[in-house]
Amino acid sequence: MNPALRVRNLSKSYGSIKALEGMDLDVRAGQIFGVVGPNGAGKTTLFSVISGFLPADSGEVEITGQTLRRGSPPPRGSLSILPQDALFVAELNLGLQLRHYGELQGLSPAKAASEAKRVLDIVGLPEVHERKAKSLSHGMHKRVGIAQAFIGSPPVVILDEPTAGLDPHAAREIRALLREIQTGKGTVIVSSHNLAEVEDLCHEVAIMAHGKLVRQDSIASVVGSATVIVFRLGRVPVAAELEPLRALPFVSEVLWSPGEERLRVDFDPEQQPPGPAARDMLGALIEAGLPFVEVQVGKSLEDRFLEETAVK
Amino acid sequence: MNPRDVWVIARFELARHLRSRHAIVAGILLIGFCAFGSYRLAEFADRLSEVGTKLGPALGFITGAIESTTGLPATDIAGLLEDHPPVLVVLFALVLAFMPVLCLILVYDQTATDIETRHVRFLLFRSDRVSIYLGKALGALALLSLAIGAVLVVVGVFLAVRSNALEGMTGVVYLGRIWLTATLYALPFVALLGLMSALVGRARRSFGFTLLYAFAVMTLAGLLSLVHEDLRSIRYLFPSVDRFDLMLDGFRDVRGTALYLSVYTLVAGALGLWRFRTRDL
Repeated sequence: MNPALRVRNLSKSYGSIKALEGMDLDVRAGQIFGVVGPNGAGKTTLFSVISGFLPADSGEVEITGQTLRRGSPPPRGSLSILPQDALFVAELNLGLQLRHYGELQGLSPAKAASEAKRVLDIVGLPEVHERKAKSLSHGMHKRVGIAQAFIGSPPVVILDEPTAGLDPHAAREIRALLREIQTGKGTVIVSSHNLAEVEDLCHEVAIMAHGKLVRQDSIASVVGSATVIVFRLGRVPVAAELEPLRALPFVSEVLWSPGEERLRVDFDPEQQPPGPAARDMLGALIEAGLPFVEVQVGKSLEDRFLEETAVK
Repeated sequence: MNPRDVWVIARFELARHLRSRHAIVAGILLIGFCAFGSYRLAEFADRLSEVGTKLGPALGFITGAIESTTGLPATDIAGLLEDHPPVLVVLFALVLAFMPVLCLILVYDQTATDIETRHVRFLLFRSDRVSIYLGKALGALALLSLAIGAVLVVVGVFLAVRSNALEGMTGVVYLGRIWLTATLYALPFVALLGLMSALVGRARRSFGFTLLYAFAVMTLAGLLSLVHEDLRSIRYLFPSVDRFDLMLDGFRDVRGTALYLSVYTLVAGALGLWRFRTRDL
């Protein structure tokens, strides 16, 4: 079975700046795939080349087994994208604009009209069909942007920072929406600076830095098996209060990090699996009278991201 | 290039332009033009009917007026006035005189706002750049054609009701010729403004740069002609030159201007297309 997206040795420069340098990527079909990387890592350039906005200097892109011709759009109906910062025509009805996009994808006018209504229903905004784009809030604009990407149900949908600039409530709604839309048939590729979001939403992740792929793996593999449990405490602990924790036989190190205001406890999962280990540690903290706010078992994607992008 | 995409984009462009601010401004200007033009032309028609079109002194006066506007030879103008309804000949001259301004106001923003707001990115993964560019140009041309048509219909109806200046079907056919000529004459402007739009990528700058360009070309041509008369040809870099030749009936009289405008359209169109295809969008 062809992967939804295959990128081989892709390079793109802006003058002397190399935005992509021999980038490789394979995205399996039927999943939500995350792309993360620091600013300037090349995420948006990668999406721009895949979507035909920018011609690549060299390399190859395959979308559902079809090769992308240099400087051409993707094969019709194979891919769509929510471009970062793209705006709709302010003075026009959104229904008209969505119908236009549908027709450009090769749909008949009648089918394009029904698709416009369908995708607005999906994102929960059927009422904006007759509204002008200039009347939308930022969150609504994002939702309609996502809606246009699903016109014609393309097999690959790229969402470049779909929750950027949204308040936490709206961002959560968008994530819930994406989970609902992606029912296992299509492939959704999401980039985000919010690593917790990617960890929460995606099945697999690619970490990019300096225009290259640093690591690609499932979220579970990237985060790794838990050897550390991190506590966010209600106050700064004194040394004596940490003694019950240190006394646990499977605990190897207890470290209070004032900068992060977190208590990191390393342990041996061979001696005690992560679940029971967390339970025992919580018991020790309660015994010491230390209030805790949050517990995180294992490293977060953010920790891994910082490690991967710092080392390489 | 996909002809269906060109058609789909042209239709969308027409809708976009018709709801845009510049179209509203142009609409107000056109209403003003229609109202003022219709009134003056009707007055003119009344006066003509009083003195009779065959009267030498009256025709001499009209010929002089058209000559000063168009720069056409008096003998050619006299011929036009003999062969066609004189009021419509004046209308033809007025339409051609205002065409550069009308084109500039109506179609300066072909791809510029789409580039500026990145709306073009909603199109780029759905169609190729050539289809997008040509679709937008076709939409712009259709808009101009509609605007000219609307002006001619309004003025034509007014003249028909107010006087017999149309002279029946002869006048209606001549109005059709004015519309077709003006629409075709819009082509080099659509190409030039498309080029500016793709070059600049900002709507207001595109408008300003085109004005500046026209001014620079005319000024430079005037100044350099003082050095050498042949350098006056620089004015051909802006397609307003010799446009009144298009009023003439003889194929030989029109051929040179038509060829120049065709070449201008092709060159400006090709440059604009090349820029749109190669620029980061």
